[in-house]
Amino acid sequence: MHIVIIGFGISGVSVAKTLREQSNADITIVTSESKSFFSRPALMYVYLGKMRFQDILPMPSDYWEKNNIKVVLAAVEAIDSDKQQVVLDDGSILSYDKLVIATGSVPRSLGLNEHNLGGVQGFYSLQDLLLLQKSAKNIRHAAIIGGGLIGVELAEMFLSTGISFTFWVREKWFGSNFLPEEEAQLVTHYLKNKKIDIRFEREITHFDANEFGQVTSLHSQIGERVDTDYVCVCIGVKPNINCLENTNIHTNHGVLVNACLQTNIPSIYAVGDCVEYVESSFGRKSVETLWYTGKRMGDYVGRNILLDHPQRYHQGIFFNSAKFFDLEYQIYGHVPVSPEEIYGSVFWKHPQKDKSIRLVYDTVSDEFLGCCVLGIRFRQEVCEKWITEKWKITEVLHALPTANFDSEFSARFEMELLNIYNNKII
Amino acid sequence: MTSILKWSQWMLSLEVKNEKGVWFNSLSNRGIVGWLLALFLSFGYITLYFFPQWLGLGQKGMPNTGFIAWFDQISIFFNGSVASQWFVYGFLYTLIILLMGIKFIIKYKNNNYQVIRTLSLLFFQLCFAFIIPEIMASLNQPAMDLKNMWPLNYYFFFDWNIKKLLSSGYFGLFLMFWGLALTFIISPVLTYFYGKRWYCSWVCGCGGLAETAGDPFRHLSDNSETAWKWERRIIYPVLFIVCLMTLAILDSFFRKNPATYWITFSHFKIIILLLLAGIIALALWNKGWLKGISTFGKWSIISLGVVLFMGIIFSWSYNKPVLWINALKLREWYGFYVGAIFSGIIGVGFYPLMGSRVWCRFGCPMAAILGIQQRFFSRFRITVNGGQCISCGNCSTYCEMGIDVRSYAQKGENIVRSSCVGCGICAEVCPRGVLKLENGPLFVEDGKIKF
Repeated sequence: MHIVIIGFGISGVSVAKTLREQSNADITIVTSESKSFFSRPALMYVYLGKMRFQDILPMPSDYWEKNNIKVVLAAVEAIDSDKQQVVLDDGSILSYDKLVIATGSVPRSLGLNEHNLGGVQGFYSLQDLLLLQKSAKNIRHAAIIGGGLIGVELAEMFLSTGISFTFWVREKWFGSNFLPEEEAQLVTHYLKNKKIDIRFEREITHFDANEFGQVTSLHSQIGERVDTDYVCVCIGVKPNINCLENTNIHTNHGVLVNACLQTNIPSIYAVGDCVEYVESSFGRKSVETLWYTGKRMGDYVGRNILLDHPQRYHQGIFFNSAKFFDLEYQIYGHVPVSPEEIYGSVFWKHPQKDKSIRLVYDTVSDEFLGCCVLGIRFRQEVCEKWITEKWKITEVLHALPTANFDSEFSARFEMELLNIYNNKII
Repeated sequence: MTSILKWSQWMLSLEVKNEKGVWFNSLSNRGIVGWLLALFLSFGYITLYFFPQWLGLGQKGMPNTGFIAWFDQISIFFNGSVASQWFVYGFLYTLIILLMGIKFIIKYKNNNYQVIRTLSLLFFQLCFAFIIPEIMASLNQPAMDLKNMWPLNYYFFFDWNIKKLLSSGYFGLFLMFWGLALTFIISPVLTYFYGKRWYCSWVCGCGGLAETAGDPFRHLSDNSETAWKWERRIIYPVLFIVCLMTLAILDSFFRKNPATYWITFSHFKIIILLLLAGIIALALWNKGWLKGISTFGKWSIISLGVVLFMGIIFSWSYNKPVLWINALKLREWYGFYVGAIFSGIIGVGFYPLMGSRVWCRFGCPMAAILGIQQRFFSRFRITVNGGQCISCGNCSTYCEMGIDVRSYAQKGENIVRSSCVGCGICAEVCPRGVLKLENGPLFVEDGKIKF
């Protein structure tokens, strides 16, 4: 039995790790990025000098050899699902019994042919990090395009190395495409306090370049022109399905899979960012480009790929977390961007500090649906329990202290939330 | 005073530059500045310990000159006599903890745990280690650091210390009982409820220096499996030797004064044999509490215990010093190699090379005892928040004890490690808020800890 995994990110690695715990099957991982498995979200810390590259490797480098997992550094040229073969760009051919596609995602493009210009890049891969490290000392003024997490990471990186930059955001507030308005305002306010030149409601219309094809300036839709010799485009990612173009594997935005994460060809599975999971449960996107989703899918496939009667994949309760500079953010369950429109919502914000808690519930059944917190940590097990067991909002408010995961001696705000809810009811 | 202010300002500015990119800074990435500092600190220790005359300590009743003389007035203020090399050492040690402690508090001002913990360290260093012993000395009483307990304070059971305490009236007697209670009652109880952190990162003087002055070097602690292996290979033998030394010295003390005190030589013999038998029995029992010990570890404890038990009985029945140990030689050896070289010169001098907790991690017998308690008889653990670890490695990198925190966190396993001093920095640097230090009651369900 030979299992080939295309992709050496968290999804592919989770498949290999979990599979190795179950069986002695031959496992080969194909990657074109690096022979070391590194934590992608930690790349920024290497740039900041907070960690070295060897520190962001989640497993000891001899893990792969010890566990008899072959890692091949090559790009996939073609997949022949009839012969069950993968053709690599070094000319070699891998025969598989089961194939797992874990190709992850690629940065979205602005559609302005920007990637043909010198000095324009994304911040996603190890190669992007190396390129940025090389360019950093020559940057006079940079542009970060896109109001997402990567944009904030880049802002932190540029700030730490003293690179002047402008942060271009399409939305009205930072994060208003994934945060409720109050939270988006809080984060925006927090970022403005960092003395960042951040410009909202801006779309980039075109770039100017010099005779060498190097970017020199950019223009926004309101007619601004800013001299910029370095541009980081980070307006989100999309499934990386380029290598599947000439195959008969069904794709739409991503690789289409069934309830067992199988593609239309039963011996081929897909996990992680590249997946489009149409059976996604209520309130979840069919393409979820998250570390946690990739890890969960990978673990699931690793456990089930060799079973004759695999169980269905369960998405579990949604959760995510992030950090904007030092401001932590966590979300559990279902918290839509405008929760007040359809649901009830209890929102508390610290009068001075950058902290907030929001609980969302169904106004008809009073069932707790989800919560998101800024500057405060909640305990995942507790929040998941409330959601799966369909606790009422009042029960949740009374049990709120059990969810706190802040460090000892931290100030507590459960009473404030209860008061806000009580005032709302009256 | 102005120079101190200027210096602290400089330290603060250094920290601001240092905050991003400890691996880019020559001081904190084992660069040339780091090596120079290591050399400076090591030679500073060697000079102060062995060649204080180079620093101007007056020889044979002569007045102090040079560097040591600067501290004469301060020493006279505190205890009425001119500065000794140990006064200078204690004064500078406390000063550095205070200055760097303030810097640490500013750096972590948003984390109450760090602020309160550091204030506790500053308080215990300033009052318990520095001011109170000076007051005791100025009142012609035995001077003792009330928080320094055996076996870190390895001379507590030395004959001269016992004699001094027992000849100083009720106050000395109080100190004697305080020291015994600290080691055998207070410490185990506190460690059960809070883990070894109550001592190592809230009270201890070595910990105080490591947590404050050592903070910029914490990422230099090696977190490989090999380092962990060497940690166990060194720290437990040190604990073993300190126990043997104490046994031998008490043995010779009682041999010389077999019935002067209300504990006689024969009482002592019975206590020691019972203690040893207790340890063997505990290891044999090996259920529940001791589940984590490997079979090899269990049998090595048992066989070592039996060998010691037989050896002690033989040596005593031939009326020889216990285990035929030359107590004076061993004491000299321990004081020099462990007390001076390991805990002093390597312990502090190697901060810029091996991280801030070299001594605490590889050598301290107190940490070894508290660690055993923490591993098997304590509520303390670091809990992991569900599946939220992104394996970034900040926790492992910034663990001053070189624990590979990530290897537990990414599996969703709680961290229960004997070496963890509970500094809380892993939880602080985690970008996803995954870790929390906890010591609430445990609820065990299907073999897993639940809340």
